[in-house]
Amino acid sequence: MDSSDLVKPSAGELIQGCIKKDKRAWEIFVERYSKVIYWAIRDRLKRFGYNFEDEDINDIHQDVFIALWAGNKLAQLKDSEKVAGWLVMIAGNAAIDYFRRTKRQSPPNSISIYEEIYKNGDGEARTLEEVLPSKAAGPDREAQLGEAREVLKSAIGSLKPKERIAVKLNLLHGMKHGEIADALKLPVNTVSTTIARAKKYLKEKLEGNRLL
Amino acid sequence: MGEKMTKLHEAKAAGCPDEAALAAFLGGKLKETGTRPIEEHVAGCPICLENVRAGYLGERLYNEKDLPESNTEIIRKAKGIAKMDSRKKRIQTGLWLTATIAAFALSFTAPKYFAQFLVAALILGFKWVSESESIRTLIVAMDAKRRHEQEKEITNRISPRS
Repeated sequence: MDSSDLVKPSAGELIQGCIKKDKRAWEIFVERYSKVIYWAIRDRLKRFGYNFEDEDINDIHQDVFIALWAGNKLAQLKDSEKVAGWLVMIAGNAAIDYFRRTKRQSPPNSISIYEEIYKNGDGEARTLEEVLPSKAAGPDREAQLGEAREVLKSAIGSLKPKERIAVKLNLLHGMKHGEIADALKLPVNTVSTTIARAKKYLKEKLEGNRLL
Repeated sequence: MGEKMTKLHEAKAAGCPDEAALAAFLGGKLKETGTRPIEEHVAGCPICLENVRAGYLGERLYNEKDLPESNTEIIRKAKGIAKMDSRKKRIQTGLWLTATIAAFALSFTAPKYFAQFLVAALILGFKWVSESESIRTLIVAMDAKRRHEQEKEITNRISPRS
């Protein structure tokens, strides 16, 4: 089949072509989505604080495409309109697995992830220390920050799931209210109110524990 | 290759929703009953939350065409995966063809089993046709051509020449 037969095919047509092992469709698919996969791998490695080289990104990029073609992973995709976002998640998980497999490095765990991710962050995200600075200085500061983390963890845990997601995406991932609303398919006002209410609640908890 | 494929699934912790479910969650495509367990999980799982952030941002950057360049060498290598795969396929289809010819020839050399060998040749021949890349490509190409002609006809009907 000539490539002109597939001039600007829709994402759905391309994916179906790749599932049916059409090589022309595959070539167009690789050209179209290589950039977003490359970006996703680099983004994940940077945010999780891995020490990496270009060679690592290249290997992960190849692993992802092998899984898509030979592993027929594209058949798992439910909504072809969201293929780019789906590929980003696949690539991000592949990056974590690559470091676990080849360098025996695990991703940051659930408690220290705040500090681990954001010490090498992209400038927009903030650490818990920045979000809620302790008044104390010197050796007391570390102890108070530890206590603040515990209080926050339990306070965040008591929020409703959607509120928790919105608050974490805002305070810890540096996402704007509009972006969160768009991502979670919620009205912006609802997100803003939720975040404001949650912040107030977290502040009260910290004040109650004399940490602010 | 097979080992790498399976290992890719290990990146997520057990119990994490798969990427397709998270993408559907992001796109607001899940029903209320499906959304709740995923919300519960994402709210407490840093890797899934990171996937939600990255998935949203990546989709947006892709739609806005605001992504840095990849590199030509890795694109070439990724395209090559299909060629590697098709070499194996060619050997496989070659085997089907050989078996078809052998069964057909045997139907004449062993007249006692003429019908049996002929049926075997038909089955093997069908397998060869269905696995053959070029025949499948031809079918897809013809289908694409038919679709283009239909689209052209519809366009002509909508905006007829004066």
